[in-house]
Amino acid sequence: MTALLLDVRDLRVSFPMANGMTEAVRGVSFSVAPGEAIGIVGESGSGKSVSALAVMRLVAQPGRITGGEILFEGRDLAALDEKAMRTVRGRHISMVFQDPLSSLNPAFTIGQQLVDTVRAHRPAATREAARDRAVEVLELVGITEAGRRLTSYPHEFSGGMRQRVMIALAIACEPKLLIADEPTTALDVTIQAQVVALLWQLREKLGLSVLFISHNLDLVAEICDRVYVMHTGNVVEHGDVEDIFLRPQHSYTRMLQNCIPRIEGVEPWSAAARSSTGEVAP
Amino acid sequence: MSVAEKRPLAEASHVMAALQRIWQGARLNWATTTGAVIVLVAIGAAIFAPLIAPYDPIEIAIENKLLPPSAEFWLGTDHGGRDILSRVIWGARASLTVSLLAVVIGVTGGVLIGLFAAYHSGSWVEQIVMRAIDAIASIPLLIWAIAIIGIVGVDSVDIGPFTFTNVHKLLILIGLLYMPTLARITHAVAQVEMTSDYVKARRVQGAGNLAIMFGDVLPNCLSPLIVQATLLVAIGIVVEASVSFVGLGVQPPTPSWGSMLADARNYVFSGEWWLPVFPGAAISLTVIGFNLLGDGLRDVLDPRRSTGRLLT
Amino acid sequence: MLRMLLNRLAFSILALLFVGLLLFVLTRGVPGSPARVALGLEATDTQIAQFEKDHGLDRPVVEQYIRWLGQLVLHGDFGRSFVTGRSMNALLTETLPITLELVLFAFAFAVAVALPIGVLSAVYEGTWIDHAARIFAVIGVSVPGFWLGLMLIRFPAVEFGWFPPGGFVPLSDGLVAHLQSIALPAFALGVYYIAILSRMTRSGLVETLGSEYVRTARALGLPRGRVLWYALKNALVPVVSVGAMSFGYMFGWALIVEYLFNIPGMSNALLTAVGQRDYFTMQAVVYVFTIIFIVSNLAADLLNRQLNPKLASAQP
Repeated sequence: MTALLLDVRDLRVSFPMANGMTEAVRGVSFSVAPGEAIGIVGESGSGKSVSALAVMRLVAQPGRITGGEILFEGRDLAALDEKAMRTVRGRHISMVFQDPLSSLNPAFTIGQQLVDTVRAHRPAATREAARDRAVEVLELVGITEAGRRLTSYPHEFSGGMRQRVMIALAIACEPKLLIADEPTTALDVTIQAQVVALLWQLREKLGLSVLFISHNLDLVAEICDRVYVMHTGNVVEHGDVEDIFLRPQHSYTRMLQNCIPRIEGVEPWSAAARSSTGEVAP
Repeated sequence: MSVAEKRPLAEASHVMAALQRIWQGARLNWATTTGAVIVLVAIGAAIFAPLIAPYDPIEIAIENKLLPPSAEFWLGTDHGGRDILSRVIWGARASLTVSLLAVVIGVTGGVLIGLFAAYHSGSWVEQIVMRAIDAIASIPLLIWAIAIIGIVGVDSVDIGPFTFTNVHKLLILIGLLYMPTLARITHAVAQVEMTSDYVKARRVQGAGNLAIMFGDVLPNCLSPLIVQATLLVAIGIVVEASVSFVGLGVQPPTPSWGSMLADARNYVFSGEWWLPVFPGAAISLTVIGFNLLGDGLRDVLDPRRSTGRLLT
Repeated sequence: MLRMLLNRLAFSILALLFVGLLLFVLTRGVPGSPARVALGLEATDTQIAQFEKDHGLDRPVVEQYIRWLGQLVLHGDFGRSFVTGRSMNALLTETLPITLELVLFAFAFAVAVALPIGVLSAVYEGTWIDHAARIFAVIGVSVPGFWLGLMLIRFPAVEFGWFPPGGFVPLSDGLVAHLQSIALPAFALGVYYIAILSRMTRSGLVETLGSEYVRTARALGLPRGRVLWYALKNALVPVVSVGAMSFGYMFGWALIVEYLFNIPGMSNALLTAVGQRDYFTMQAVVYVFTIIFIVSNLAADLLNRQLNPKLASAQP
């Protein structure tokens, strides 16, 4: 059995409230093996986003990780200092956020933001080399005329394109794990499919592992191998995608299941549904 | 529950709720309470000056000339032998009269203009009014206050049955120049309110336009207006002091903090430090008070910050 | 963008014309002919009438205004004072650079101090640095500049003799002496703006440091300095436009500071003119002040739109 890429054990995250500390994540464990795509599903407030942020050590202050281990390639990220964490973020583990409009800096061109990211982890790189990498990675995410678009500002892109830019930033330094926190929630349904397809492509091309966070069980099923279901800070069920769909054990999972409109006769996770280009076809 | 019932803006309960929020906010925030206390002290000094001032602020007593602070004269005496403490207390009257009344004028005029413009929202009337407001806002306050009083002269002016002293002229001028800021705030808030579902519901109920304007839209504008007004009082105090400092404001022998500083200027080379320190400290403290109060009120009443940031 | 620029410019010009007219009416509407001031109390009525005719003062106000405006716009000439006989342009050329220099120094000083204080307050939010800066800001915004100036004259100047207690040493008389004579007035003028600008910087930076795009920057592993700049560049947008506006306001407060420190700038010209009932000079000086004020407000508005990339591509 190959060593796990990410092994989160008994994670606890708490936030101080007016009446003491409230645990948002209460002893959650999940893992990602190299090359796997893992989904974490749950409603708002289930703690799924906080868990993802905790892996990146980006939990919003004054929240804190109050317990557990976050083992990435054997190293406990929870124990690292900020300086060491900076070498991990963007380089070994990257994250894509929900709203690409507010998640991209409006005052800088995307070229500048890409170049800054590349040079953050490769300080020796020349500006030209960084620029070339920026163009390369924009083309990888499907943005045409990448060279010209380097001088554009985020607000000059459409929603779907902006999310592609976010993904480009995330993969610019060739991370092993990509965490996608509700990457499609702010997008139109048609664009959603494109972004999911893109993630699927990148997974194949780059050997990227993906941790996909969503409230949409259906969406998760399209791309993920295994799924964790979270509810009020705990993992209530986990298993292969098929198992979760066909044999949901927990009442909550069943409830999530029932919320999804279905096309008769098609289960989203089947191989037939997932063609090699990542499109979902009936 | 109808839309109109959900927001009983004109009712007393809304005002009570606002007051309650202010009270709760004040108890938590020491800075705001300090500000409020200072403001109350200043207003108290202005109102009760005849009762609390130990000496006559105007009467000259050369034998007491330029005495340092002592048990007899707590803050010393000036070049006319007048007690500085008494003059400082009476000076509050001049400063606060000018700044508070100027704000009253500014608010009254500004609100009426702002509401008027919002009422005609979308039409050329609104455009003209707001442009005119912008034009008046192009006038630098201090320069023009000094210039106009310079032109008109510092003597009292009789128009009909009314006598306008220099103080009156000053506060009217400042009040006029305050109107643009207040009109803009009122207009901005009222414009949004006019398009709200609530107002539409009220119209359906048969409420007349005036009733809607003053009964429903106006109370919503009050919060940012109160905040801005408080901050404008602070500015007004410094403007009055500045104008009096150059001799165009409150005329002697009436005590004013600004003119006291002008007198103190003659003694800057000699050692009478109490001449400039106390009046200036009075100005500074009063302004601090209004600024702290205004800031605190903003946190409570206008967290969306439709007023300009000053201190935070 | 160009359309919006022209729009704002056109309005500013209109405002200038309106204000000019207002000013004109105020100065000419004063009872008592300037002829009398110029010629003295013994002048006969005939002499006064002749004077008025010579200087076009007997024409209707509107015509006078148009002539004045024409002379100003076409020849850049403010005319001549009836009281002193001097060319007002000469007066302005003498005094405006001095006031301008004072304001520039004060402004540069304010910005140079306010930005670091604001940044430190935001980065060390909640610590003693932040609290101290806030207390300083409250005091700085409340203490009248001219009182601060008076205290500075009293103590560092008179008591300790580090600076001259007033008066202006022109650059030609020595750089150090010149700077010494400007230091205290510039300081007194600038403190208020240090307070305002530092608070704005702080609150803007606190807000942007908590934004999602800064979270993205951290998630990408960008170094701390870069992350700070990512936040700061956005935070400074309103600060720049407020700064531009402040520049205009500073000219107003410079008047009092100049008066206090006996600096022969434009305010001096204004106050002297007031004393001499030289209304036309007053009008010229006030108009220049107003032009500066309107221009800086325009600059502030334009900067705001230009720097905010989202606004730049939006409608006027």
